Formats: sequence, structure tokens, C-alpha cells
Amino acid sequence: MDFVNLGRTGLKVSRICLGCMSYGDPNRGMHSWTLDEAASRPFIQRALELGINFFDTANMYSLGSSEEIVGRAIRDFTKRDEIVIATKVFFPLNPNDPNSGGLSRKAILREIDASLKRLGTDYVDLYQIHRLDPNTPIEETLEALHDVVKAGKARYLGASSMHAWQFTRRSIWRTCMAGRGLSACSRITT
Amino acid sequence: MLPLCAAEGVGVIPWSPLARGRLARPWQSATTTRTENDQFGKGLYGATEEADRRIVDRVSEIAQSRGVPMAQVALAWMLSKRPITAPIIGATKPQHLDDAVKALDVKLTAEEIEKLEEFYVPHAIAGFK
Repeated sequence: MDFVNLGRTGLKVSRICLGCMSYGDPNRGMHSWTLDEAASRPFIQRALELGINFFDTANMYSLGSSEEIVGRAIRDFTKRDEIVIATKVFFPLNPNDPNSGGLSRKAILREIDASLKRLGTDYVDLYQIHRLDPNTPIEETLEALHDVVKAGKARYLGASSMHAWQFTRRSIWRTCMAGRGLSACSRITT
Repeated sequence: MLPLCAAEGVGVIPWSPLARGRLARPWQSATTTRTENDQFGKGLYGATEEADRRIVDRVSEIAQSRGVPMAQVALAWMLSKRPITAPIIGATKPQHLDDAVKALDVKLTAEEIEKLEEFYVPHAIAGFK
């Protein structure tokens, strides 16, 4: 397996990342085609055998079931500290709660704790905003993410699926805060 | 987005690098549980089928001439591009993981890359607003 730095960070990741949206209880969430836990585990095990150290999931994949499956498999098959776990926040898990979902300070601080519980770990390596939240000031979102890192609950930050001009606003923040910059972008938008 | 990430040193981990399997088999040669049921995937790729079909045909040609699965050619193309860090691949069948890892050893020639890109047309943004 080849390993490269994730952007300009010091973090080394395998050049193949295993996307774990495919793993989750098919009765939970929007994807009926996902593999249940028993069917999923051999794939995670095989990925580890092939040298993959980079696993990507999200809080909303199968309404948290993906994180649970990935967390248990990593605990059972390998050493958590040797693995790079990426997860995401934005989409609501409880449609009846107006504060579920989005990128408010309240939502981010609640969702990181919920993800850590489901994953069975003290920290995630890469915490990504799954989409941009047009209804929350970007400064509020970025400060909350910064606090997640400072609290030791995430090592690096990332962003998924937005316009380049929106993404550059985060770069400005990186310069101004001299803190943890965004280290990954997981969608080509050209 | 990609030149921005290259300039700023931001890693890039593209999702859906095989376009929900469309780049991994001859055009519409098979349906899977996912092609039938992935509503989000239909929204991503439904609008550009004519243009995409010609590219899938090229992937198939190059895969045949090299004697490797199409997925390896498609991923090798992506892995050859700066500033791609790592494609996020899905694996629901045993060969998916092995194909992804073997793609690391497939080094496409400049001529092959040109053939793969010849029919590309810019796609409207899909998957977010």
C-alpha cells in the first residue's frame, strides 16, 4: 500500500480510502441497498489486510448504523490508533428536532459526541462538514469546529461538497485563527 | 476546486470515483441492487448519460487492451491526477477492494489518458446546491 500526506498536514493516509456508506442496517436511513453488519465486517477486515488505514463514514449514514459497524470492526480487527477515521456532520438524524442537523454550535458539539459514542472511540481523525449550512454564520461553525479539535475530539477538519468560493472562506479562517486548517475536501465541483 | 486545493495544500478525497459503478462495467450491461435503489445516485448521473457513455466505452477499450478490469483503469486515471489524495471507494463485492488496490500499480500512458478525457464535457454541479 502507498501512503501519502493528507494535504499539507503531517497525517499519512493510504491512497485508497474505504467509503463506509455501504455498511449500515438497511432498515435504518435512506439507503436500502446497504450491507448489514455481518455482511459488512469481512470487507473492513479485508481492507485492513490490504493495508488500507483510511475509513470514511458519516453520522447520517444509515442513521448512525454505519459508524457503529465501523467502530466495532476497528475495535475487533485492529488497533484504533493505527487507523484514520473520518466522519461527517450536517444532515439531521431526528427530523422532529429543529436543532438536529445543520452546523450550529449546538448541533456540532452534540453530534461529535454522538459520533464518538457510536464509533466507540475518544477521537476522530478527520471531522468533515458534510454540506454547508446556509442558515448558520460561518464564523459560528468554524469556531465550534476549532473547539472540537481543541477538546481533543478531532485531529483534523475537512469539508465536503461545496463551491470553491465558499471553500476559500475557510482558508481565510485558517490564516486568521492560526489554528487547525481544513485539511481535506471530498468532492470535486468543477 | 482542484487548482484551489493544489495551491492551498488541501488534500482531496473524491467520493463516488466510479460513478456508482458506471465506470466499472460496460454501459448499462448489468443492473445491481444499487442501480435500482440508489435514488441519490440517479440524481448525480442522470443528466449526462450520452456524454458519459462515450467515456465508459473508452474505459472499456483500454481495460480490454491491458487485460485488467475497468475499475482499475478508472481509478488509475484518478490516482494520476494532482492533487488527489485518495479516492473514497465503496466495496460490496469481494473484487471491489482488490481492484481498488491493484489500481495503484496501473500507470496509464499519456495517450491512454488523452483517450479517456477526449469526450469529457463539463457537468453541472450535482449532489449539493
